[in-house]
Amino acid sequence: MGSNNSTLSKIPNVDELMQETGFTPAHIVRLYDRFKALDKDQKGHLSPQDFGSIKELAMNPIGDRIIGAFFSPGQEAVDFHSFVRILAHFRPLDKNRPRDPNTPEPINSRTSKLRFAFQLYDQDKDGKISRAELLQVLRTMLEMQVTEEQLESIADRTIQEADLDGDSAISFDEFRKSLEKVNIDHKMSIRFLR
Amino acid sequence: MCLLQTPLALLCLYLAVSSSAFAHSQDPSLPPPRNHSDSESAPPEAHPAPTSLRIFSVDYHHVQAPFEIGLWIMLASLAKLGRIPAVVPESCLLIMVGLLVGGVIYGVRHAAPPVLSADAFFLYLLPPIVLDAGYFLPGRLFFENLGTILWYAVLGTVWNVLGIGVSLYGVCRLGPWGLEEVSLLHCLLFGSLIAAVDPVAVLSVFEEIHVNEQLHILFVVVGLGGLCVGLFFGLVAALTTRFTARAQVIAPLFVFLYSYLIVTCAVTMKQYVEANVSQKSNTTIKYFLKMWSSVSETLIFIFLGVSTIQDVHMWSWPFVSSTLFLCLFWRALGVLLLTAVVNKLRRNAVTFRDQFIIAYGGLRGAICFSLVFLIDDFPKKRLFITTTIVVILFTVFVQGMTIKPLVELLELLDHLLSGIEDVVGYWGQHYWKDKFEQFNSKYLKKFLIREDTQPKSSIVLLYQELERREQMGEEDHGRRERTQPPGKSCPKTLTSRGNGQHKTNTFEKSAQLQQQVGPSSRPVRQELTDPMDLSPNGPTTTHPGRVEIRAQGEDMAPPPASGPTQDRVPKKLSFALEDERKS
Repeated sequence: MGSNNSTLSKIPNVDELMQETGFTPAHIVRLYDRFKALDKDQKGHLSPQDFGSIKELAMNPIGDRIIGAFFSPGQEAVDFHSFVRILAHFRPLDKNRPRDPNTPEPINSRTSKLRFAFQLYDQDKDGKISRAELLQVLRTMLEMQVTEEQLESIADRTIQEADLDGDSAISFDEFRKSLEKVNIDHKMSIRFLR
Repeated sequence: MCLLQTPLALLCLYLAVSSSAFAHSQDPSLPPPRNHSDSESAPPEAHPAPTSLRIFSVDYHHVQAPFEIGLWIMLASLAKLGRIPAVVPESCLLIMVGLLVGGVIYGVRHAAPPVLSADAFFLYLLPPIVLDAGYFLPGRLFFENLGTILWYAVLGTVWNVLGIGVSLYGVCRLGPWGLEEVSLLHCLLFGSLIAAVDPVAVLSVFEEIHVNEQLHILFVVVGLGGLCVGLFFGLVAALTTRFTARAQVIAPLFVFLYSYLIVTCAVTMKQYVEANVSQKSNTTIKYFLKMWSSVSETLIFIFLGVSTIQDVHMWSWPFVSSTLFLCLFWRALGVLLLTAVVNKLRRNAVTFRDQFIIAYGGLRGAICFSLVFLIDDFPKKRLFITTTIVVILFTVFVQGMTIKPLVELLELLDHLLSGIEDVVGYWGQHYWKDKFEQFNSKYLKKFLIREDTQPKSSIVLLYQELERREQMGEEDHGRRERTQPPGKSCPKTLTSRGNGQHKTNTFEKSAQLQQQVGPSSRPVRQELTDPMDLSPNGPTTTHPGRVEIRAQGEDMAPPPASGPTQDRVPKKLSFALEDERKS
């Protein structure tokens, strides 16, 4: 469509972006509009404050973690490409993806989605979810509802169930295994167009 | 939960102790008097008490029923207090306690223990539970998923009912087991009561394992849907059969409606009641609801256990086993099919895991059990009763204990997803919810909520909190304040001298309190928050203003509101004080 094309032409390297993320032009345009709307000062990139102004996100118990996921460590700006790349994790799975071991894992594959979720827990990025990290997440989510002792017992129980090699921490593989019956593809996908 | 049960347990203990003396003189052959008049059972025989012990036995009869009930509650409480938390869900435990008590009573009396009458159940026991569920329903998620919920509730139950009823009838017809006289209608009736998902058992299992809020709601409403279907079938049955005793069916139909209305009422009233009513009353309401429903739940499950020790049971292996099998089969099938259709329409699909829990967690419970008693007496009625009991026991024990909770991880995914949606600016259900909330604030609330409670800024809340603490007797501070000369001038906001003095004290005290309160930014955990713990009210259920109010009500501690608000307030108050002193 005419308007889509004109918007697309404003975005640098848009073809590469679409290739990498699997988004259609319509998706990209929508996301671009959203990006511009969030970028209130027209800086061309998003800062944490821009995310902070999304009021529903502010009420989300893990809102700040989600925001943190957009920014690489040490960075304070997200450009459009990175924005789209992160959101690509939540694209629904492609049903007919060719099982070619040579092509790199697409961003919205099950493993990538899981890894994204894993990183929300693993804040210090050491590859394991320690008991303390788990407690922290549980605390933010269940803040008003449970006492500290209950939180601890929930955390202990979760680790007990998931931890297979007995190191009292959940590695990515253990994480993946414990969620293997879960339909992650559905649980971590959203439809980007109305 | 513990704190709720303890006073109850103590009360019952007292009852038990005071009655125990009488119990010794109790003539074991006397049948226990019926507390609720039961239309089905024969009127209790009245044996004259032995003359020498007349006083004692009369007294015992007097406290008989409450004593027994109290005893059961006490046992249940003890069971809960010393429970094995992770492994055995509450409903299982309660049933076991019921079995125990029933066995004891049976052994002592050689007679059937009191039977749960349908009237008692519906009028006294069910409403509190339903009310409690409705009151604590997480509003946001409920309305978001309303479509799916209704879908599951209504269609799912209809599917189950038809499937189970018809196939059961087929089994009866085919098999050479002498079951031919069981008519289709009876089978359908049976199917309808077996298929009704019982909110009681399910809720008690799910509350314990902090399941996904969505599922919780799904269940509450599926229960409702079951009620609706029961209503429907009841009406159909009434119309087509015209049995004389159908009047019996109509009464519970009214109660179905009644329960449904209760929940709707609870959900809607909750919003406005919470704002209108003071903090204390709010907390009292919550406590009361929780206590009441907890008692009801306990009673129901215990009755369940107790009545299995009845001596009249008709057994038919094929019927029982086929019922069991069919229940599971149809339920699983139904869930799969429905979900397949639903997922095409919904954005946030119900995962396989969720489905699994729904299908597997179709716990039969007290409702269908008491419904069984409603069926007119026909030759095979006892058979149905027995079968129902078996199904219930099976599902509660086997299924209840094998639901494995790994759902804390899943909860994070939910939050993640809605966060990402917010980032993307998805105009889905969230958008409409916000619209509704705006409309709500602008119009409905103005109409329904008292004028003077509307501006709930954090300063006002803090002030009220301080007032409350003052009233609760921080005597030494108050006394010291009053001996000082009264403030030189009244702050502008106050009207009279008298008030001025009082308020000056409070302001100064508030400054002191602020220094105490300030550093503690984490909510103070108290035992009193226990009853609230298990209700799945996420902090994100309502918009920001509300979070503060609720936090205050529940914790009963120095306002644990969000950090920034708290920091701003002390400065404002201290400025007010300085202004006051200068002028």
